[in-house]
Amino acid sequence: MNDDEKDVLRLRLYVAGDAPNSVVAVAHLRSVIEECASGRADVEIVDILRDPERGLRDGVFVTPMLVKFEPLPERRVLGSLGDRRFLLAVLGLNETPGE
Amino acid sequence: MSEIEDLRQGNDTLRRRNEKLLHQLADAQQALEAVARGEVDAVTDKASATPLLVHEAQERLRAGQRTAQRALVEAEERFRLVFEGASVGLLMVNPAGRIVLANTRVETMFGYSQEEIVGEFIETLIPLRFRDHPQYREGFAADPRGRAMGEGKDLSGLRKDGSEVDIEISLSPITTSEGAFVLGSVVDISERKRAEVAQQQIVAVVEFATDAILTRSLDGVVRSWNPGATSLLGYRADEMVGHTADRIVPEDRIEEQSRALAQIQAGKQVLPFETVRRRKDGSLVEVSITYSPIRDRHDGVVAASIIMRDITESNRTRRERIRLVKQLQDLNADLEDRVRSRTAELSKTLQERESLLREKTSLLQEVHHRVKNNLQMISSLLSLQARRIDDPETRAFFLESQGHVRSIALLHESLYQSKDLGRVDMQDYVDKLVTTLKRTYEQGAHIITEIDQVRLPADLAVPCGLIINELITNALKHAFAAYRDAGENQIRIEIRRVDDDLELVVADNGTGFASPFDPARTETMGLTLIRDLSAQVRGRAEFGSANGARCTVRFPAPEEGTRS
Repeated sequence: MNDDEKDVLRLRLYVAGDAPNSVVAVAHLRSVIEECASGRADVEIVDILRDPERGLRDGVFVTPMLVKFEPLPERRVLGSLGDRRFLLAVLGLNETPGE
Repeated sequence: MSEIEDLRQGNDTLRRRNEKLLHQLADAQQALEAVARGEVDAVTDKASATPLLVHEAQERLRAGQRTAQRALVEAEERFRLVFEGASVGLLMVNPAGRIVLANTRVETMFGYSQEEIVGEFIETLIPLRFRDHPQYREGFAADPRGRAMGEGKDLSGLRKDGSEVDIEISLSPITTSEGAFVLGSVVDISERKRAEVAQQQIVAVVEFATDAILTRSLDGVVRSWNPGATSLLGYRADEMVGHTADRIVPEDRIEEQSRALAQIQAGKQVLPFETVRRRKDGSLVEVSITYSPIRDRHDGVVAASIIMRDITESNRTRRERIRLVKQLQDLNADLEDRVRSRTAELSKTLQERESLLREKTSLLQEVHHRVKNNLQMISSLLSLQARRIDDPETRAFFLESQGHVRSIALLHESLYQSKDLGRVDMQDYVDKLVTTLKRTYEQGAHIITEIDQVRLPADLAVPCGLIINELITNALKHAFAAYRDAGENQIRIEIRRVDDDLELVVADNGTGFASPFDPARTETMGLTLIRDLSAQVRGRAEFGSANGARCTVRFPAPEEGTRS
């Protein structure tokens, strides 16, 4: 667990400009990272409207899409990331009420 | 050891692979749910590498749908306007043969409302006798060709009230996903038919008219020329139609015709007038001519119709009639004169005859009067003579004679008093006779007369009078016994009609004739006289003696004037 906690989360969120689901997804991700993985996450946000090639290269055809590259295994979550419990599970984080 | 290590490693590999698959499954499931929730913003097309924004696409789709919807509504509205506004009846029939659409023209044409007719089979609008007609049956079946139905044939539609309407139908197939529909356009041709009939009638009227009827366009060219015109003017239709009509107008009538045509061109009526036209053979014919304007739909005058009637004959007839009327008037006047003078003559004659008649009447009266006076005088002489005779038998004879003379005198009195001088009223005469006799004899008796309305000429009345005189005298002298009260004595005198005869009866209730009594053999003066007098009136006297004496003389009634 400690190892896990020390592992840096390398995340990339593909969004479509400021389309509504994309905006919500950014907000949800930001709040989860700040609350449960503060300082341990490397989050890159890619706007596929500006850089479509990036998405294609990563095999991302539908946005908004969150891809967890590290730690392995790679996981992908589609949508506005409203299901917090599922998101924590995918990211391997615990709810830390007393931060 | 290494085997265990291998196993452990293999096991780990499997476990990791399993875990990875589970993750992939969970991610895939989550992705599906996210898509279902609509949490997708963009989809990138692999080939074009262009991201498609889902919201924009949806927006465009919705806009597209709205446009399509609007277009559909507009199309429907346009269709409805065209369908309803069509000048013909429109019917849409589905593959099952039922009417699915009908416009208002159909309503008015067939008398059904749209609600009533939609859903019905097309046969509802077809008269029974046509329902088996193949043109109808196949017409509305799925026939891929659009065509007119019953071309050149009389088709009929059946109205709601059972009446029929002349129609013309053309059909267009409309292929839809639901099958082949047929759009039928129906035209009410009753009006056209009536117009055709009227047109035919007009053509027939013109064709068979004995009047010349032609039309002439405003430029003077003949447009129509009927057989009546040919027989009146000698030109055939093919010689005149398309050519100028001027050759039938004599030089001196051109001016007149121009005036008439100018009137027509101005849309004014030209009253019929009499004029002259030239025939093909150059001869002239007297005609009565009528010009009427022919107008187009915009009320502009485009031609003149000209009707000509040959009045040669009627002019001759008219002159002849005038001559005859004159002659008749002359004859009438002459006749009236003659009637007047003849009437005057006749009335003069009549007056003369009347005065002659009056003279004759007064003369006859005078004669009867004088005869009576003379007879009375004779009667008085006989009476005077009788008084001087002592022999009772001789005196009785004189008195009897006096009675005879007196009864004749009375007859003449009755004659000159009667209206009809030739005949005597028997009632009146018998009354006089009875009164005189009663005065003459002492012996009283009740004399009853029952006399029908009889008027006899003098030659019959005299013998009758003498018979009555004789019988009553006889009765008063002999019938009644002296001891009897005179009040019981009764004599009846009757004259009555029996068939074509007259019957004179004198009867009393006295002692009757002495029996045995045979009047035929009795040669007394009185009875002889009665038989002789009866013979004079061509009658027979019969005597009876029951309840007193009774004498009946039956003789033929005079033929004429007995009733008047």
